[in-house]
Amino acid sequence: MRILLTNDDGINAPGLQVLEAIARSLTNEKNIFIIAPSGERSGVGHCVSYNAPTQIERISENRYSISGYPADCVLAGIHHVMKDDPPSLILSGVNRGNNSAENVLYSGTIGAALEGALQGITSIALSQYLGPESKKNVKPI
Amino acid sequence: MSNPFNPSITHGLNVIQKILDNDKHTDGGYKVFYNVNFPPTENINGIAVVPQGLRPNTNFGVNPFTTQNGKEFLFIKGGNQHVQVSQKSDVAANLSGYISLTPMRADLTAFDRIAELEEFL
Repeated sequence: MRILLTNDDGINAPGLQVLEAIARSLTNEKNIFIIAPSGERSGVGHCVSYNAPTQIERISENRYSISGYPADCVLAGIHHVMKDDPPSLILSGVNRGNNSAENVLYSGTIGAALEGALQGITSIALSQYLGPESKKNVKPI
Repeated sequence: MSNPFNPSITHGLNVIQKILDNDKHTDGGYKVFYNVNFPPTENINGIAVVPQGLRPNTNFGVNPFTTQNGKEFLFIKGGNQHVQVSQKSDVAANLSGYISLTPMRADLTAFDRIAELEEFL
């Protein structure tokens, strides 16, 4: 199984590290590709860099940052980085904060999963609800 | 909770494996994708397959402010995330300690209005 990981909180977000650990239980390291925005992109929904190019930077083996949006990351993975052997699974998250109810429509985390589905790939968005019990321990990104 | 991501760390793999075991390939139409939300507690009651909800009277809004040189800016702000909702939904499940799993499609058509509008036109 080849897995593409992305998010909307950015390449250094703690939730992405959670997803990396999960992915390592599903497949071997060589089949995990991380392509995430260079910084915080929460609330961008399904936005794509349609009117300007997006910069892609290789950080290390199988790890890239994108100057654009989460949906750009999915497009970059399928049609550029992994084009010779595309992903069979896209995981987006784990988002800092919930993406339930109306938040679904604003979420870049959801936007990435939606783009994955439009491209015909099994896609899952994952988000961590924060509450009184957990919110005080979250550092701003 | 020492790490706010503990619920997703503990239960994420299990949820993903369950989804993959039941993912169906479909030809044509908008492919289903999955939305998973982990509740803000480590006392997880289980996984609930639920529809997308709607927090009543909760909307995005703006906070305006003016800089010292007179320029006007707006901060976009979200609404209250802990409003209790009565309908069976993702947000209700999360606030009751359940991991929500919601299958979704990008098709936003309001199918329940099609017949009515056809008759009207």
